[in-house]
Amino acid sequence: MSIDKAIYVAISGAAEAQREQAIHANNIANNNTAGFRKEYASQKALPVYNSGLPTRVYSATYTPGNDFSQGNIIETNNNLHIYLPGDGFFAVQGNNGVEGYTRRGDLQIDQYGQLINGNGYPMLNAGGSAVVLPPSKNVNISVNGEVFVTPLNATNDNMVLVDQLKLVNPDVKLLKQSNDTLFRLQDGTIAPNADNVGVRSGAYESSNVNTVDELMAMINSVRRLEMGLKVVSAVKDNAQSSSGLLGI
Amino acid sequence: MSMHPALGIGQSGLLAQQLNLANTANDLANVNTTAYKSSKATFQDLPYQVLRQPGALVDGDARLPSGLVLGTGVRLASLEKDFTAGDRKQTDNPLNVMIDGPGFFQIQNTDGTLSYTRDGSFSLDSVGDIVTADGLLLMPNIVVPNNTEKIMISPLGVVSVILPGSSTAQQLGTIELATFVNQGGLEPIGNNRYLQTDASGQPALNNPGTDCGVLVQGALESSNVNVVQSLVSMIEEQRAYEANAKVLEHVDQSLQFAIQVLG
Repeated sequence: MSIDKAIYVAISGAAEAQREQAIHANNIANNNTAGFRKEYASQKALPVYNSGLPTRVYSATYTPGNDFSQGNIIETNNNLHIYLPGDGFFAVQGNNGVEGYTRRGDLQIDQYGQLINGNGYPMLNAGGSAVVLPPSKNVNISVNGEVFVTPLNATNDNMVLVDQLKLVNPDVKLLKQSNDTLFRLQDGTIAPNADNVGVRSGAYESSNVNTVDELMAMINSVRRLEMGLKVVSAVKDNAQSSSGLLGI
Repeated sequence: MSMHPALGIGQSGLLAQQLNLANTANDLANVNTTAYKSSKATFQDLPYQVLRQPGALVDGDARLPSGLVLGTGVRLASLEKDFTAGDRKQTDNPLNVMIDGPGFFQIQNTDGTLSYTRDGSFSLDSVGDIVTADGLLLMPNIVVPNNTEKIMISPLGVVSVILPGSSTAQQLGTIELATFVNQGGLEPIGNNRYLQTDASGQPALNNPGTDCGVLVQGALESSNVNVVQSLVSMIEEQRAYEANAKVLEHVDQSLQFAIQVLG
């Protein structure tokens, strides 16, 4: 027999604990990122049975989803900062041009007049294309996502409706995090417009990470890693003493 | 993968919070700077790595119910200037001009290009040009005769003077103001001046009074830094920094343990 299989099982546990630490580290690093949703980390048993006793159960870290509870609301009195007081998401255009969903609402206007969020993703309108504003003195976003502006060349202060933001309210259990930080539906479909999502302006939603919880989880997984390594060292000691006994 | 993925993530957090703290320190340092605009840090989460695709085959017919999508940290994406107006500070100096509105004065840099400022603490140079505190020309250039008794700047930007022996005002020119589609995209270059960028768009030049605001002679705009708010954010930033440092400490501990046990 080669080296005890226990060593591989134990080291897989330790390596997976490392990945879990990375997830918690990322949550802590993003505890000031607007609209950030805490990512859950979990371990799954992966049994690998063959001849002999069923002792080989590897563990795998996986990310079962995100915590979609609301983050802190930061008051700024800036009309371009918006948040969703209840459920729902803003629709934005991701890196690859595909629509994605986020709760990040610290908006800006870019050089093309597009309304973009703090991640630089253009906000989409109810029709699914980017919201473009004319040069304006003032921008206001209403409770149902309508974007009003006072054009720069207007002679009076009347606001005109230029567009309406796309707001969606998909089942959060069906959302997955994509690598451009946005959420998308697992089956790749586009969420329909929802009219039960309300928007408020003058504040934006911050991250929902609880740093204390994450630090606790971090300590927990550090200990798990140590236990895995301890098993490796015990197996090593066993192998050493049996080698001694057999005079190898 | 490096030695431990969380090392890089923790480091990105430390760096971002360090820059954030430096930005708040800069705001506080400029609490008395004329027309200074405070900045707000914007953070972005870095791209995620899909290490295990949700639904991937693991063993025989077993499929992972959800994958492993690993974040890679945070970065400070931008420092967005907050252009809300500062308080009005009365000085009664006739060459102190405050903009009541969103506009900017146009200033000629030493290399002939233009920059923009809201700092209206002007003075006269040896030949009578209206210049900034740094001695840079206000554009369009207005020359004030050296025997002038009184300078008047109207809310609509008209500069006129009263010369000795005359009771009527003589008009010298009009101060123009620039506005930008996205003033948050202006590049701050120090000395209260900003440069136009692709993000800010081209300046729209207007005489004061339309959409760019009116001028107030004998007043200056004070800094818009809110000291209490900055001090509170500093506490928050420090704690965030510490949490990230703690992450590094934990990671270091586990690596140290690994080396001890396996070494």
